[in-house]
Amino acid sequence: MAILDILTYPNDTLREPCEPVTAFADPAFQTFVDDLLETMHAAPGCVGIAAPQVGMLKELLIMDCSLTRKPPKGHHGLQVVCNPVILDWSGMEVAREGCLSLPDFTGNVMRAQDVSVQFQDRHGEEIAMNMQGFEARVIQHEMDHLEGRLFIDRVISRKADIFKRKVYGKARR
Amino acid sequence: MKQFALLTLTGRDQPGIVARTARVLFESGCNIEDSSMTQLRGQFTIMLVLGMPEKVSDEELRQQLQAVAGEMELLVHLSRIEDVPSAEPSGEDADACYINVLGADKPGIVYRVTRTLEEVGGNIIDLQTQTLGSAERPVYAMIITAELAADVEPVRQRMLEVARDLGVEITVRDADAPPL
Ligand SMILES: [Zn+2]
Repeated sequence: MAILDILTYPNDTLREPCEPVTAFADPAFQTFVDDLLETMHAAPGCVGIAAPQVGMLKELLIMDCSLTRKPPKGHHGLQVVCNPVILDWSGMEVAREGCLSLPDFTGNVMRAQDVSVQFQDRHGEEIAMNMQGFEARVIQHEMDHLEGRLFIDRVISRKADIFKRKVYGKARR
Repeated sequence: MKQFALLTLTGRDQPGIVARTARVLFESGCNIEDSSMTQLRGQFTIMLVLGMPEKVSDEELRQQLQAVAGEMELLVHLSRIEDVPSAEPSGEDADACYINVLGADKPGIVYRVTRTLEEVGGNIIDLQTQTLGSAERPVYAMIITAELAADVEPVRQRMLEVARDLGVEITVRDADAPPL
């Protein structure tokens, strides 16, 4: 296992669209998933990471809302998400987001409140689930990374919506 | 060292205020570092932080702005500012929250909420208010973004008291944003 380097903006790779994951049985892919997991855990306060953030242009993201200070009700804990598709969404809400690839800032971003997503787990098994609130926000943020988008692309007003980041505490491990 | 100035222009709204102002600034080599421009009840307000070129004096710039201001009946104010932070706002290491106030319009809403925020050590980064609803039944909406000296919970408790006293709805949301 290894902690991978996180690409930070500006970086061309963060702007590239990703390719679907197909090689589920490839040991190198499984090792990469483990490394990405370790990288997420090593980043203070981090609850989600997408493969392109470490330079791997694959439709893979990892999220775990149990890692937040106040875990949201009804969250699904750790999810390794491959090839995600949003099937349905409803509601819109503005809230502040941060990003490992934009370490110095946070911004107000409008996202759907509820999403139904379909994806494959790390072994290629098909999964569908409904996510709400903060968890829905996390997967939308990470799915943006898979298309080469960053939250700053969705910020409406720089003055009111971008903030210098408060510092997160020490790494959990 | 880089020099900065604060420029404000206000007046009755009409098309062309921003373009003509921006033209003067562009032609005199001023850089618009930060800006807030908005229409409030038919009045247009421009607030800018300018990066000042060395070759233009304040007097020259004032004269050029005054030409636009005279034509469009605007009030202009230009003053030098110091200690301008490179990135804004200065929220480093601070917790932040959003305070949303919604209720029937009555005197003292802004005063009571902001006084309470000051008492708990909050610093307002942004405040916007809007009157909604009909003229007979106005609804007042205020959205504040504030940096906090301490935790958001005591702020929420104090705002609940204010909400009860004023008979309005106040929600305080933690602006916490884990990296993703
Ligand atoms: Zn991100």
